Amino acid sequence: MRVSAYVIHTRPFQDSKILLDLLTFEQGLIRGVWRLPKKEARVIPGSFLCYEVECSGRGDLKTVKSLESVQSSLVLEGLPLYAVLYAHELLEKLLPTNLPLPDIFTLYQWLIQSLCSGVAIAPLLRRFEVGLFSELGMGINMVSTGRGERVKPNQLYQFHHKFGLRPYHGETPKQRPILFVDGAVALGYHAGQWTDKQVLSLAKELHRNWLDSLLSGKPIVSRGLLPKQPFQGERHLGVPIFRAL
Amino acid sequence: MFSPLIKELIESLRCLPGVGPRSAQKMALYLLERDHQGADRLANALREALDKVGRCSSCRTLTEETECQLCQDPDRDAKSLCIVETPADVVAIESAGSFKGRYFVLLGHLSPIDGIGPEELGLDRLEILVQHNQVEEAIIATNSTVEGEATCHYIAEKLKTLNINVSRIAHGVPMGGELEYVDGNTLALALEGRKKL
Ligand SMILES: [Zn+2]
Repeated sequence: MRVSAYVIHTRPFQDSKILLDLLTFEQGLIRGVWRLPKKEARVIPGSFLCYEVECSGRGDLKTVKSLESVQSSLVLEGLPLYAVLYAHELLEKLLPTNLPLPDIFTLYQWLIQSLCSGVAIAPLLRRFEVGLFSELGMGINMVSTGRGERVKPNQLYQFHHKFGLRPYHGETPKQRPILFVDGAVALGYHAGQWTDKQVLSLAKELHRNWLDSLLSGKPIVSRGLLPKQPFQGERHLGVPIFRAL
Repeated sequence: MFSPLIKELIESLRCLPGVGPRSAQKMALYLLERDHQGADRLANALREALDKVGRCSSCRTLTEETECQLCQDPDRDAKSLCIVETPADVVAIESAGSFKGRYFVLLGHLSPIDGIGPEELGLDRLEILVQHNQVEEAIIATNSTVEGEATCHYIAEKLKTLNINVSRIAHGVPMGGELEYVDGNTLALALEGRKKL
């Protein structure tokens, strides 16, 4: 089997072998064992290169026979590098193995190329997360309410994991929502208006909660590398509220 | 086929890197059959090393003393510090013979997927050492992997706040290497770190 792949993670295995976690176009996330070349030429693959990988085996652990880069290298440093580690951690923790997800491969490719171009990182990560959620069938609905009504720009909503959006009229909610959001901001999120500060701020808060629930509270370690900015905007009943500006 | 004690010996030898079931069996039989004295010495050395070898209180490399020999050596420049991932890296740099400062062993690198974030790296120890020894120059010699680079960057940011010179060992074409066989990434880095002649 020949696949296009990015190396997401490596672990030492036996003396001259390593375990590779590969994000492939053809087979999604796969794990393989690779025998390192002889000592003088020993290089651990990685570094955001797209490889052409020849592998075999039917089980969960493939044998990687050859691995050749098919692209010139990308050099990432500092914050963009941390952002990639974050993306890798999400992929490892959310993706099932051996399930073809070609759009996630393309999404990852887009992310690392964009990170190299030096644009703002937060909108890139939020778009990456949206893409990941939607490809995995875990997308967040910000265009209609839990009951299927279209979101109105002038209405204020409360958002719960289970029930999604629900119109909010100032009552004390029975269950504490994750956040309150103006319809206009929710629709901006749905439309991907990543230049809008409120939309970006909503996405950050929303995705953080969404990821925590998808991972049932398992920590995302690489968050510790990204800039820490706890939510400082307006709150209602102690819960973040995102108003259209 | 083997009695429980022999089986256990074979199984325990397999924890060594590169030792499969066949070679473990060979080793066990060799020790029991042909080299009792050697086996006895091995067993004692292993026991003693396990009991006594710990980490150097200053650089964290392996040693049975409180402070390792390198850290005790008055001829080594305490103001110059080389930061590496493992004790094996200390040995590698020492064998190159050109570095005359001291070391700090990270005992790993940032690897969020394996649960190692900035907090797990124990950089507070590094900061204490830097301040205590009044380090003026830090050379970061982490591996040139994605995780090694991230670790390097993270440490560099930390150390810069302490007002010391921070540098990173260069990556490049290996000695005797032919360009044709060097991968693109290494070449890109080698170009980036080029030297004026
Ligand atoms: Zn020491």
